[in-house]
Amino acid sequence: MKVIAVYNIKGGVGKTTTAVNLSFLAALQGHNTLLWDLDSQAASSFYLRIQPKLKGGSRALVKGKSALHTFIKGTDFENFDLLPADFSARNLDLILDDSKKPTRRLSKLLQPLASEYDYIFLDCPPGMSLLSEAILHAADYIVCPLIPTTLSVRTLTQLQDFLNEQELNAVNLIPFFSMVDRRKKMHLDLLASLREHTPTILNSTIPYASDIERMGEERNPLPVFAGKSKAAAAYQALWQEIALRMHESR
Amino acid sequence: MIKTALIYTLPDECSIAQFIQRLQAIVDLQVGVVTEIRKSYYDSFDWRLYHAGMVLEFSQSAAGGSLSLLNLDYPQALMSADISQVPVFASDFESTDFRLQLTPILAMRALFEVGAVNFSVTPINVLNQDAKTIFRLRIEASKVLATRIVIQIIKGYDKEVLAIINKLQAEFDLLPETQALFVQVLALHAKFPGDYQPKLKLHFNPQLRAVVALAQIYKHLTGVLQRNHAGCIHNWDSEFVHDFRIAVRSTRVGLGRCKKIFPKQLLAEFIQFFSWLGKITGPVRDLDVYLLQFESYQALLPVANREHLEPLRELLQHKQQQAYQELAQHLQSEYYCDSMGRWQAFLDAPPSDQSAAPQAKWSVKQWADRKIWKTYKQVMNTAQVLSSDSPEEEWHDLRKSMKKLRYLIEFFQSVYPKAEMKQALKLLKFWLSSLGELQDLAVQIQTLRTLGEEQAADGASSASLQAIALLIDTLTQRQQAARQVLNDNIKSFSRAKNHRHFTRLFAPQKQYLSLDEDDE
Ligand SMILES: Nc1ncnc2c1ncn2[C@@H]1O[C@H](COP(=O)(O)OP(=O)(O)OP(=O)(O)O)[C@@H](O)[C@H]1O
Ligand SMILES: [Mg+2]
Repeated sequence: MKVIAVYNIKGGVGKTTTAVNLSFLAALQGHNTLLWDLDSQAASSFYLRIQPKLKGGSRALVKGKSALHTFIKGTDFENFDLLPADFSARNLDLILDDSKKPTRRLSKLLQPLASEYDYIFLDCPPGMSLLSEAILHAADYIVCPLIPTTLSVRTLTQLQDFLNEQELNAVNLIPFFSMVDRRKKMHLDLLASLREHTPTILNSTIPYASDIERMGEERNPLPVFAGKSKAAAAYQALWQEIALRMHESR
Repeated sequence: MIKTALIYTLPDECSIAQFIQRLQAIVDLQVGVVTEIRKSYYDSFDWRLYHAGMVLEFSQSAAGGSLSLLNLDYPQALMSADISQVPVFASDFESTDFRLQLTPILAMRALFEVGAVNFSVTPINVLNQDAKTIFRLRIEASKVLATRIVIQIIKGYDKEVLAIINKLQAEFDLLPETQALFVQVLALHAKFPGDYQPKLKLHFNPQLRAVVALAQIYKHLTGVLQRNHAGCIHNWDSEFVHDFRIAVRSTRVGLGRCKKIFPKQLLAEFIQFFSWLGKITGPVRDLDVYLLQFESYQALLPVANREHLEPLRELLQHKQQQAYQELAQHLQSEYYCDSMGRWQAFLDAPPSDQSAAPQAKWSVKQWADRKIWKTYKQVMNTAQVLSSDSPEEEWHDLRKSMKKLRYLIEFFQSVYPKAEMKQALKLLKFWLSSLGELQDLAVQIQTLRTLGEEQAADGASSASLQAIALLIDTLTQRQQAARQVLNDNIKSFSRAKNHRHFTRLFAPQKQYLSLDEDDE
């Protein structure tokens, strides 16, 4: 089992979009895949047409009263399951706050799923909180979407510093550029100089594309309704490069 | 991921179109394109998968093929893989999961298609108010079976789905499917899983006349011969000849004890026929055994030498092919067909008409007591004179008479107390396998020497001759060890406890001892 968190401190950078499409592609290859919607906005649950309410609520879940299993729902796709978000608990953070060893709590919850899933993707809320700390502790890989701005590198450095601080050196940080507009010279220049500065950034980029925006109306992963689009091909290439990076890092 | 399905059958009076139409009134549907699928089932000739509680199902459509290993008792896939063709042997599977699961069960047995059926499949997604699929439903229609409704529940939606299914059942009179599809398909082909039973399981009333019982035993064995005949000719796998030979040899042993009750001339003819069958199947069996054990031979050698045994394997394969060709000719010869026909006609004739000797009136129990006791005494005589320096042939003689004893005991098991027979057979099997190992090693070493010389004459590489020599050395060491084990246990077979056991079971009543016979 590999736990892949899709995370960035910044909001609106394409975390959910990435998490949904990558987990769909992993499942399509035949890997048993789970996507855990950890954001109370429940965007991934919405994209997959699954009601975000958990019976008993996430309070019981994090306290360890009920096994994760009972909350899992099958998506419309083979090998692809979702653990829906719970917006009834306003803030998972609060719950973690009063549990013992909060940062270890998530990885412990995931343990029983190890034999069942090849990949577990975590769709994370933005910001830096106790929940994000717990997520970073539970993850083997952190896939980090970056928007081509001068500030994005700063975000990445912050994240790396945090990982070092928490002694999470084994966690692999996998950054890539999203919402890239190849027509904007500024974007291309930025990409080149940022890559020079941070060579770990993946070669694959996700373009800014209206097909991607349509995911909200279609309520399906991108390849399902726009399989032949450039954007779908970009996600496919992205997943391949990430899989390779994961393979090499073993 | 584990997938369970609920399966129902649609009543005949409800058409598929009607079903879909009425379903649509209850829930939202997404109806997919109808596809043609051929489902076929595979098992070995002796139904090893079936006996292990498993079903191998191969589905083929225009999109490709998919193989699933299912549980026989409930419709659950243990594993699946996309493949275009089902391999013949378990060891040929590319999927590691399948290979590891199937090899211990199937071993050297080939897979055969045992039945197939064509379906027109309509896939349907049942949706909730978010247009999310909450279960999948497949209508599987065929010309020969009742239409099946297969429901695949999606994780986390059990409750909603069960409510809908209850409604459907009430509305459509759906009946849960009671027999596994596998069993239904086989019934269409008039095949019954588990129908091949080479072991003698005949049950005799002890008072039955021995001639009648013997005829039944021979008929059973002849059935085994016939079931395996084609497999021997085509070399589908090595077990056809194996089972064929056992039936031949037990028949031969039985016939050797029928001198007074079967007509002399006919008996001589049949004994000759079965001896011949034993002889013509020998070379093939020996080569099969070598090839089956080849990998374990290789494993005996240091890694560096192993590849040098490959020329030997090729030579053996070549010889095996030739031997099978010869066997196929024999088994289709006029002599075979004539003799088999006469043998069957003989078995079909009323046995009472065939002899006037008093032995022909004996009951199974009387006959079995006497024959088994006599053979047992032969075994004891041979065993008692054996010592650690007895020559190889004497050990071989012991094995031959023990084998006879085993066959006879197997013939007549049912007229003796079950538990005690089991014990007697267990003792014999232990001895037979130890003696068999010794004998096999002797034969193998001898054959390897001959083949080594043959290869040397053919100008084989020194590396491969060296590998053979090394193998002979290793096998010789094994032979010595096996011999030592037997030496140490020589006296245990004839010890008092065993003797009492056999005496209690088989020693016949006095009045029959006077009737001497000239058995082999
Ligand atoms: N490559 C892209 N091209 C165009 N629009 C995009 C692209 N990626 C994401 N979007 C759109 O941007 C918005 C934010 O994306 P998304 O929800 O994936 O980001 P997020 O990082 O998960 O946001 P949040 O931090 O709120 O959870 C969505 O409306 C999405 O459709
Ligand atoms: Mg999001």
